[in-house]
Amino acid sequence: MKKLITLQDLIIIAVIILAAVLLLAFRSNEIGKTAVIRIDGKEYKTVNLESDEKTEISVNGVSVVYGCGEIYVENSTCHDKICVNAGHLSKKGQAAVCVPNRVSVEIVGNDKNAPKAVTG
Amino acid sequence: MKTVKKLLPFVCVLAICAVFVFSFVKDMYSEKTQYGFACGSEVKVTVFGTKNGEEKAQAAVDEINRMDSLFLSDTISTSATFKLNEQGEYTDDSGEFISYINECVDLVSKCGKMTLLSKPFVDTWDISGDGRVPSHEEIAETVKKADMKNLIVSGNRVTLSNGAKLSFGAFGKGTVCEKGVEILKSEGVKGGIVTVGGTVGVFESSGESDEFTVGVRDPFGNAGEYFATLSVSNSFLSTSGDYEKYFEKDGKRYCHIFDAKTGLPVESDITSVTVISNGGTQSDFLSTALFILGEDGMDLAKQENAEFIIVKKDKSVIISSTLQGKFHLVDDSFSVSFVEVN
Repeated sequence: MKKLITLQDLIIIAVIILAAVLLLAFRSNEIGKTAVIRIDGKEYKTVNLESDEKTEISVNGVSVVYGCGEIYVENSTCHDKICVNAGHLSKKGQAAVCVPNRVSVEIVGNDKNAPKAVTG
Repeated sequence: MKTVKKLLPFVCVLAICAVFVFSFVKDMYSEKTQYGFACGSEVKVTVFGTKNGEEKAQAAVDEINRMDSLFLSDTISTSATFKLNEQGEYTDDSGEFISYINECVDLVSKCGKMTLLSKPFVDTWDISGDGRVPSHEEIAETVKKADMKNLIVSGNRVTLSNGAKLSFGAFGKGTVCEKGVEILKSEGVKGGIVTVGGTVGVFESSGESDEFTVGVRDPFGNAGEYFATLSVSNSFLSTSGDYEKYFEKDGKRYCHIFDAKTGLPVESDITSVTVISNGGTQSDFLSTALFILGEDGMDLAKQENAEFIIVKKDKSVIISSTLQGKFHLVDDSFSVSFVEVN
């Protein structure tokens, strides 16, 4: 009598299931710490903060530096400098907003323990 | 036996499809956030457990923008406030603007040190720019302009006299936040969070006792850092403080909140006030009022059925006793005391 399931079948099934699980995992989790830079509330760029060196980019008059686990506004053409004073951001949910230039940077991620919003 | 074996690949493919459909549906119902700018602040609208969450959140952002550009903004030339400030008078056919002014006038009358006519303070001290300290004469002039007697509402007409200029700086963010929550509810959203600058509105109408955790901003830390958390379900939370909008001249810090009677930026041992209440306009107003009045404002909060968290510069924190159990300290360098207001 022939076996119902051969070793070959088992390997194929295992590979397919593994592929499915991996795909799902990649879909739902971002790898490492990332931040989103927005202009006028719309996503402009998503950047990875894990790299060992810092990168500076200019967005609508706001100079943003990211890398080494953090992101911050180095300088801005605005007057109030609230975005610069927001300081160096490294935790999920932290954000720096430049209202005059309509630019914001926010650290995103899947930290379940972080509060849903912060006042002030 | 053979048929079973033949079916196996199909079963596998089906199982994989099911996993993807599940993840797709889960994704469809997962939290969605839209962003925008209004009332001189960032707007952030998050919805939970709903289909087409992005569209619904965007509807709230759009309504907030509409209110700002139609009524509230004192910098956008299309707004009723801007026109009123330019012409000294405004006739409101819809009645929406007048009834809102009346609501704010009513609130302001509860705090003698506040005014709706605060624009001359912000302009004269150049708060939105580099900041400057005006002369005594100039300050006396702004106090006269800020007198609430300069604002007259009669029927559907509102008039400003003696160079008075209207600003909803201490109300508008709370009002649009409240409106954003209203829109989400009318769209059938079960739970959501609307943030407009210092005001956060949270709601959940699923009937479950799910509470949101909201961080209370650490006035000594960076943006987004919190020293405590609050468990809330259906409330508005507003924070007023001197730690973000200010300028420094000759080593002295001048904040953006003014005492309408003296015409000077508020100076006290308090660095931030958070108020929790049932309405956004109310919580926004009260956080400013309590920042100006200090501990004397606790009675006002009590009258308005609101709760407060007052953070002093020495890191001592005074909290409404009714927040006991909902308030959780995260940073031990703050010392907390609960007070009962009679």
